[in-house]
Amino acid sequence: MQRFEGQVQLVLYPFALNPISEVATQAAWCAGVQGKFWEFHQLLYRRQELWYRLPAPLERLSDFAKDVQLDATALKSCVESGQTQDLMKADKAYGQQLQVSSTPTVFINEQRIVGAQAESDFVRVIRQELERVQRPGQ
Amino acid sequence: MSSVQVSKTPAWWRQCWHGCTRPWVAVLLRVLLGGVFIFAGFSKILIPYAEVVARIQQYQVLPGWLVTLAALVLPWLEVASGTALLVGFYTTPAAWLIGGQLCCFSALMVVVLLAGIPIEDCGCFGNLGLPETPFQVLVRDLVMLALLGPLLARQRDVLGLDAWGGGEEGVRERAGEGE
Amino acid sequence: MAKKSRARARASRSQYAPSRAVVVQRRWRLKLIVGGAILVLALGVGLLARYLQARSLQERDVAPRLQEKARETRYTRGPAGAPVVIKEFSDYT
Repeated sequence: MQRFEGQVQLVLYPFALNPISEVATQAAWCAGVQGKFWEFHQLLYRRQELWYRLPAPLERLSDFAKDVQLDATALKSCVESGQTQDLMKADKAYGQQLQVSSTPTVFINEQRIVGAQAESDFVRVIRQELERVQRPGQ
Repeated sequence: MSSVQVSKTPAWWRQCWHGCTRPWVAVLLRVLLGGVFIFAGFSKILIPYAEVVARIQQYQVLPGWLVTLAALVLPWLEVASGTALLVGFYTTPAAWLIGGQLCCFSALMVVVLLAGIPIEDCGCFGNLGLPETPFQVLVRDLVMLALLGPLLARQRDVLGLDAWGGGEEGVRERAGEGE
Repeated sequence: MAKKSRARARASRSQYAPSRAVVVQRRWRLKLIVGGAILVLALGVGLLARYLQARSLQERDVAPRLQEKARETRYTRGPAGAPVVIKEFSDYT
């Protein structure tokens, strides 16, 4: 992102593939309600080993809240209330409309890249799209 | 004195083989195997190309160029070979082509199982089929290879395009020219 | 007289009726044409399915660029209206 500052916008669509991931997605959205989405989002990946195998990970995820200055009680009640479920379902439905069936799936404009490909592949496609879009007459 | 030659093949096997090479069995096998391959091919055609690439990449044992080639060619090869087998058009070459593919898939599954590569869904039928583990795929492919045996051993032209001039019927007709 | 006309009739019949070899040859050619047509049809249906699938995906994705109001409900990095928009669908597990 830093390499292409000002030329590229990243939009995140959490796409939960299983019930455990759904809890994590809702927790991330609820962290966003407190203004700490990106911090919590990165924490979920950094500490993935500590929670992703738990059948009920909410307790563990609430523990993480303190590390990013989040109100753990508010986070937990936000997830349990289900107030972010509609947003999660909307993201899932949108992804399914675009025939997303595995993650990560990245669309660079309309170019689809599926799976954890090399960074060079992403950079190449971003450059191609920038050239295509910025060509005179386009 | 004449010597009697006794066949070493067990009677049950001979009966089973004889049954498997009956015309209606050959037709059934052609439809089944051809149909599975047509379905597999179309299921890959109906998902985005990048998804096909990702599903082949998950096996982690194929080099990048082979992944790209397989993702480009495999769906069409499956459709073409499956169609040829189903309608009985050059049945034997189509059966060999399908047998070759099954051998490759089976070998890949063996490598994946031995290497312990975790794969939840083989991606064999795109988004249209049930998810299958490598072991399930291996068993299925070996069964299909066994079913190809009767088709390869004795080509049958019943209800197939090969019966038109190129198959046993055609051979009989050509043999009849000399009369 | 009758024998001559019978011989003449037989000769004229064999002159115009195709031999067995020709019949087999014709049927073999017909097999090639029909079989080839079926293969082409199957592959053509596949190509059409691919094309329609790609087109329908384009239609579902209303605009490749993010609309301003959607920023309220989607988390983004980078400026709105950037020439390249990256949409990332990812799972936390």
